[in-house]
Amino acid sequence: MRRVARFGFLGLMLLFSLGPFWWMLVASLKSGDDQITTGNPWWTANPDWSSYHRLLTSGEFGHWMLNTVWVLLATVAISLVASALAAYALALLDVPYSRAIALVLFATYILPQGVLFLPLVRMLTQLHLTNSTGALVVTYPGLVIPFGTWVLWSFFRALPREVVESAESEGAGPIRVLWSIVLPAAAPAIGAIALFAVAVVFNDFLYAFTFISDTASQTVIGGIATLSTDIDDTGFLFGAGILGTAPIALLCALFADSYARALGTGFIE
Amino acid sequence: MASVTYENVSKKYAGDTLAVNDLSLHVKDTEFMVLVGPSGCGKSTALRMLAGLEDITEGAIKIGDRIVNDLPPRDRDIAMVFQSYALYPHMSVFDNMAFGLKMRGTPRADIERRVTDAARILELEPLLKRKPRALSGGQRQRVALGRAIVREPQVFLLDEPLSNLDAKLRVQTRLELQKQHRSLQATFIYVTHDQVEAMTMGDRIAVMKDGVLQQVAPPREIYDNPANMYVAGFIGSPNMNFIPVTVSGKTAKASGFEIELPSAPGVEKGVLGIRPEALTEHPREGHGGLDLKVEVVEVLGADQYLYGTVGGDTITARVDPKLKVTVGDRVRLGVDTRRLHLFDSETEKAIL
Repeated sequence: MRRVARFGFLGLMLLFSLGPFWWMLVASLKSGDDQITTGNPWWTANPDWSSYHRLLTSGEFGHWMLNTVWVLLATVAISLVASALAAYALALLDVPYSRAIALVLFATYILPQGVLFLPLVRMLTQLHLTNSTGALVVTYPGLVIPFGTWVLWSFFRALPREVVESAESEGAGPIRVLWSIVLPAAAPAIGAIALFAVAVVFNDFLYAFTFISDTASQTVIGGIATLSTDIDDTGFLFGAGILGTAPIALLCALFADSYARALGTGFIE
Repeated sequence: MASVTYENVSKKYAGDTLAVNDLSLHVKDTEFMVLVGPSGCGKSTALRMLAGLEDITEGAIKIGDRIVNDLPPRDRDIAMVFQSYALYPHMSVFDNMAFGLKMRGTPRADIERRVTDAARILELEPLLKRKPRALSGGQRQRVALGRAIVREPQVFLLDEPLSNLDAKLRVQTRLELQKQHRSLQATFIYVTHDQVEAMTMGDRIAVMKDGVLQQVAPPREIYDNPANMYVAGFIGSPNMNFIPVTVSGKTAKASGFEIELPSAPGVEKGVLGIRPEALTEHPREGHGGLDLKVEVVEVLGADQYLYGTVGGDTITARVDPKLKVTVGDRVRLGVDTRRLHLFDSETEKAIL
């Protein structure tokens, strides 16, 4: 009885989370008269893959994909380096009020993105970064670093102090200690932060859409929004939606386990 | 190889706590020096200042003739073995031992040779590829020691290296460490709270309390001629008996017995110190003795301890295990007057 209830509940959750994807997929495969507004939204008898063909060969979508990958890689790299250095200083060096600083850093994560929007635009304009992927490369790490610093901070603090002292007495300087001793011990946390960065990049619509008006410089998510002028071509729109969301959904599904473990356990001896 | 000298060294933490108070201590080249005392006595802080892990508030520390106060740890030519072993969790045993050498840019072939040599001495050869978490406590301890040995430092610093081992392994490793000390011909400074480790391993023992050095001497000397009541009570198990007495001439009078001191101490009051084994079950005529009212009997095979009272004082005696004693007995015990101690009741310093 218990099993039935459990599987029933899990089934419901599954339906709830996968339903929209299925609906999008079906919609993307409908064509011509068989529009989403009419007919069965959960099934199409004649799947039409032409939207995907058009998307993948259109050049624009390819650009967006490349832009997204570039922004993503840059975001992950910048965020990891900055978070690691900040967390190392807060956790292992004698920084006054380090605990308070770490908590404040984490608290900034609660700020709604909309609040930061105007000051960011102003700064980016002064830096002449608007209308290029550079705008996102400097913005996204700002969203990832507080989280990354906080996660690594809790990992580093769990590392026995004597391990660091031992490395110091063996002749390792701070950067060497960070690279050879502290970071390898925090490997699960690094995976979690990278995944978080992926989520930030693939989930952001606001910044991508507003900072960049040149279509060719868009990311996938921002780019799809520029497509919505062709409101009639729903198959095309939803196909783009599937291609834009599938990578993150897949990544999360694959790494959710280690992500949760990294956040839950901290340093493993 | 080198000597180590503390010259009036003090360590003050925030809030004005003096962890180490004006410590002066000279450790000779190739000596095995044990710093012993209860937790919080400053012994670990003294060691960590020498290692360069803590700043020195006042005074100077020398390794050989060189003042090392401002040298970073890596330039001090010391190797430290930590209580928790502090092995690098993600590195193999080999890499753990090689890390310090790599940091110094030792040629690869040299590293290989030194690590395998150390691994052979410590019987770690089959474990070189393992990670620390796949090792037992004793094996981890040996890796920590091996990591120090491969660096061929001038001074080995050991901070309670045996306290995470079980009793049997601790005795084994104790012997192993003494053997290593002899074959390495290096200076060892060893911190412990365990008086047995101190007595068995040290060429000399430095007893500390509340940041203050109490006495430095070879184990025998510490045991036979403690400088004050603290040292007398800390070293030796069961503890030395302390009995307040009034003195007139050579006679010391306790609440339940009288005893002739070997010489007149020239004080009127004092605390008599008698080690449990200075009480014998064969009282000699004319040497005085005491009647112990036995309250607890412990037979340990080789020894028998009697706990009881004489007058108003509690007394522990170590007697022949063959002696049949039951709780409630009154046992006549003699006192070996050559092994009496008398302490000043105010300053607690040894008078006799």
